[in-house]
Amino acid sequence: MMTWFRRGADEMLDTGTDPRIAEALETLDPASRDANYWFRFHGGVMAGAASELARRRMMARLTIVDVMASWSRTVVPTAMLAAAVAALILVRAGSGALGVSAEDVLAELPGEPVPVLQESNAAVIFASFGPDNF
Amino acid sequence: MSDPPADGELVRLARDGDEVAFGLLVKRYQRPAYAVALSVTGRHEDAEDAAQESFLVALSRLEECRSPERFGGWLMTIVRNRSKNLIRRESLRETEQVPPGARSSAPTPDKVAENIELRSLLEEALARLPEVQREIVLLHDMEGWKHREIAERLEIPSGTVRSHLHFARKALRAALGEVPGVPEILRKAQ
Repeated sequence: MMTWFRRGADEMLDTGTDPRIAEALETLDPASRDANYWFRFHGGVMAGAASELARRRMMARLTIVDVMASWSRTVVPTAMLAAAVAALILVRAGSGALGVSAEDVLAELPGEPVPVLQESNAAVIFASFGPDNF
Repeated sequence: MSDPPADGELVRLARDGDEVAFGLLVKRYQRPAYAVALSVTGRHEDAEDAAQESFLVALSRLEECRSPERFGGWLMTIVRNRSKNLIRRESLRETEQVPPGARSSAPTPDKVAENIELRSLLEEALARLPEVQREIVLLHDMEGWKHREIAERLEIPSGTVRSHLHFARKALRAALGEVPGVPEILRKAQ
């Protein structure tokens, strides 16, 4: 039923090959005037695409190591420069302006109690509960 | 003998800069791209420029082609858009620079040859068709694409392709038939 319907629709719609129109439309094909037209068209596109294809080939050859290496070439000198600048600032700060030395900063404040992390008999107390643990 | 490589495979190779793969894609789609461009611009020179540009744009944007297996349809969308941009630019330029009537449609001496006359008549007849019908009739009757291929690549139902083709041909026959001398030219061309 469906096949019959489809075949009927195709016949009604005239969608097969029409040699008369196809023949007429051939005159619009540039190759009808110039036999080498498509060869030249292809060559023109390929010439225009050469640089982009070369760029893509180069990108495809790059490995992760190459990317990391190129990245480190920029980052390592920048980090070293930043470290040097930071050291210079620290040295300058230490030598004068604030007058605070490292010893001053690290010294204990008088009167502060020293924190006791564990009393001497803590292990004994824990051990005394040992047998009750299941 | 092995099957020709599928579009998807060629696109993946071309993404890595494979010249042969891209060359095969160009060879496979240069004629349909030209036909689509001609259906939009209606002029050989513009169609040629738009089709060539479209391949270069497609290459630079290959990563945006999400379904490499459907490269053909994706390329035709680029061709259509480039062609529309080109005629928009040209019409702007003509409005700004060229005095009205300078681009005459009067026959030039070289148009006396019969095939040139027929081409000119065809171009006029095609110009009167809706864009989608022009595109379908050129892809089917000039490039030999099947209904199914056109439907897949233009992303429209196959029945719609058949219907457009039918009405396009009907209009073309009527347009060519009503011009005095055309049946004779067609007969000689055959």
